[in-house]
Amino acid sequence: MALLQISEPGKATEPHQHRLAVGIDLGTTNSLIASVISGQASIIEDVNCKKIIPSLVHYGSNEIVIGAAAKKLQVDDPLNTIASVKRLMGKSLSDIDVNNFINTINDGDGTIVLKTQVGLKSPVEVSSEILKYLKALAEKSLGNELMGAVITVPAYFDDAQRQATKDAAKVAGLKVMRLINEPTAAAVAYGLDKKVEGNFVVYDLGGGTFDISILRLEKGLFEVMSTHGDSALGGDDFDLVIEEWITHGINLPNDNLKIKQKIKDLARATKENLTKSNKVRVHEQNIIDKEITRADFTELTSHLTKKTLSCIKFALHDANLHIKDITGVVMVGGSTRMPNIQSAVKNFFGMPLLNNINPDEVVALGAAEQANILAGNTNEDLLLLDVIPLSLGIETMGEIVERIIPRNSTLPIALAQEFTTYQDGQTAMIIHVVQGERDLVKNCRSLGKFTLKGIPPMVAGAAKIRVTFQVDTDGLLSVSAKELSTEVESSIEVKPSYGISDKQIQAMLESSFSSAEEDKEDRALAKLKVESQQIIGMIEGAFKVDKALLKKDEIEIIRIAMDNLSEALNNNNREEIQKKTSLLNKASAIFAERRMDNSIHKALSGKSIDSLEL
Amino acid sequence: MDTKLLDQQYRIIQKTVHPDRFINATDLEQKQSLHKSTQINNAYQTLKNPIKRASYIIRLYFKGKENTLPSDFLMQQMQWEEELEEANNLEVLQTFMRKIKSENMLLMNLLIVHLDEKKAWESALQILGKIKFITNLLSKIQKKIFTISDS
Repeated sequence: MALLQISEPGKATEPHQHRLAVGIDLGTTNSLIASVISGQASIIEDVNCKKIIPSLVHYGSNEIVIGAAAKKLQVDDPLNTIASVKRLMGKSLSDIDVNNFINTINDGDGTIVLKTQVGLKSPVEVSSEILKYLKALAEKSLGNELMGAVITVPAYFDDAQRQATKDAAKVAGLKVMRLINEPTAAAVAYGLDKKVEGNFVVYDLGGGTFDISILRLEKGLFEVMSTHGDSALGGDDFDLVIEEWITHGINLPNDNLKIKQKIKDLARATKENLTKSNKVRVHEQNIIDKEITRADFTELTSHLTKKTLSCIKFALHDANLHIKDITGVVMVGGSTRMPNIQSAVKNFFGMPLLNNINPDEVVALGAAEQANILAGNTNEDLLLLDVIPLSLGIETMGEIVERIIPRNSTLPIALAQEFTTYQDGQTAMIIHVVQGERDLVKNCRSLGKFTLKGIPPMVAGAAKIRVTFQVDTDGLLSVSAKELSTEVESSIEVKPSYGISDKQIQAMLESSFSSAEEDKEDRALAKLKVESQQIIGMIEGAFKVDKALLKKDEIEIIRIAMDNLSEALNNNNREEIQKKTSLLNKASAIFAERRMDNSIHKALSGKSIDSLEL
Repeated sequence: MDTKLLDQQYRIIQKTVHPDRFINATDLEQKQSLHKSTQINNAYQTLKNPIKRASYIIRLYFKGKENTLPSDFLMQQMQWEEELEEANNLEVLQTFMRKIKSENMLLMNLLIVHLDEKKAWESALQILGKIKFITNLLSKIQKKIFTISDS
């Protein structure tokens, strides 16, 4: 690592400078933010010393209120208080049941918008308010500006949902160092805590979803082997079983919402009480008065428990592992507090479970550990390799999905596919990208339509267009294309099925600064100048170490590009600086590549001497 | 192949080039790192998986078209698919699984002979086609075993 990290001029004087980085568990009901402070990950509390922050945003006529304060306002003003916005991220109106939401939800040209008294708000904007609040909380507590954050997302989140989360951070002015999966974050928290190598299973049962992840921790590499789950199975289903047990045999008026809600609350309370006691009296005037034991509950919900165990089998199969290969089982999510779940999982693996870290906090704590590593604050030589949770494919004839990147592939990953034209002189083509495991397009999630333009006109079938699908370390897709016989780079226009455009993000960002037009221009110019100077500094530094990797004329070309940029920096012309910066980037690309290769050689040769000694 | 060495080298390289090591680097370095890290992942998957590895080796030497599988194998395929369809209890499925697994072993050995000794790329490619089908079939059998043992 040290081989490639070049000290930045002016910054290198403080080698032990601690960079402030946080981990954020951006939850459906609650959110938490944590940071590693003097070597220990801990949750940052709000003004009332509460660690758990309700994911609620209240739009008042004058101000926006978030968290516990918004919860108080929700009672009297539910319509202007947005709850569970996470369920709306990256979704369109047709994906959701508006009856499940109290707020007024409208169609915003394919995406969702929420109606409030101060105008229409997109889920990204609402989510960004929560992030802004968390960021301010952390900056106040830590005493300085944040360098960046690791934000956790559910493992089953698709591309659109991940992108929406990243967009929200962007609008909040928060740099996302990495998006990581919630169960992975939990495993990091335990893995670093226990310092034991081996294969770990993370059993994550939340309110409405179930996730299973299998990770391997070996010699500083944390590798996700497989993920599996059921996005429609959670604690709520266990409540439902008790509800049915209560209402069984009694006739209730269908339209009495008050009684319905009462029974719902009673069912949940019964479930929670069964965690503490072996027997619970279920009593509600004029409706029910009988007893339920923990054994009854275990029996009644055994089909649900079984469902989770069969997900484990699939995940083990995908990871090519057996029960005997598992070193530890991590329990995450409030619903894993149920004793019947605990004992079923314990029996399945035949070992005690890891549950000593608070299940509400473990995800944020793990994210904070990861953020600390990414920021370069620790000597912990840990690298986290995650996988893509859902397969990526494209639509082919007959609305059949052709799989391009299979689920559980290690990220980053890229795959190229060749396409051809089917009409003479065809210059454009549309590629429809979907995500999911099903064979038919309509059963998968549409991510977007990519329009390839600028294909050189040829007879049908003569053009060979190589389309590369790249998924980065956040699990986000990008697409590029090239016509092979002419080497023409096709331009790609992406029309996401969901989500918002860069332009809209920019508009949201700018609306959050209420400054004049020239202010913005000044800020942009200043930022660009700093970045350009950094690039020059980095190359100067690289010259000092690795000049030998370049031929004389190659050095000359880079020097000229550097001088040109330096000159441009003296004039305050943004376009000119941008142009010269990109020219320098082009000129030095070969240098960067050789340095990377060189560092691989050095790392390998260094290590093989070590292995000879063993 | 020494898979332990492969794993070890993979870890070392990934720790050097992975984008997580370039959070504060320039755009250019981040792009390079994404590119290299992707390349290493692809290479590792190709080398680790015997089928992918064989296919890669064959493609180094043989650029021709893949022949379609012989008709007797296609008949065999259909027969197996039917057998899987009809197998409805664990015992039958497990016996079937053992049979297909030994078939797979035979083909694997045959593949090794064609690759390493005979260097007969074209016929190796055809054997590989059969193995791909069988691998797929095995995973279908496994899934069915899971489903039946759960209910």
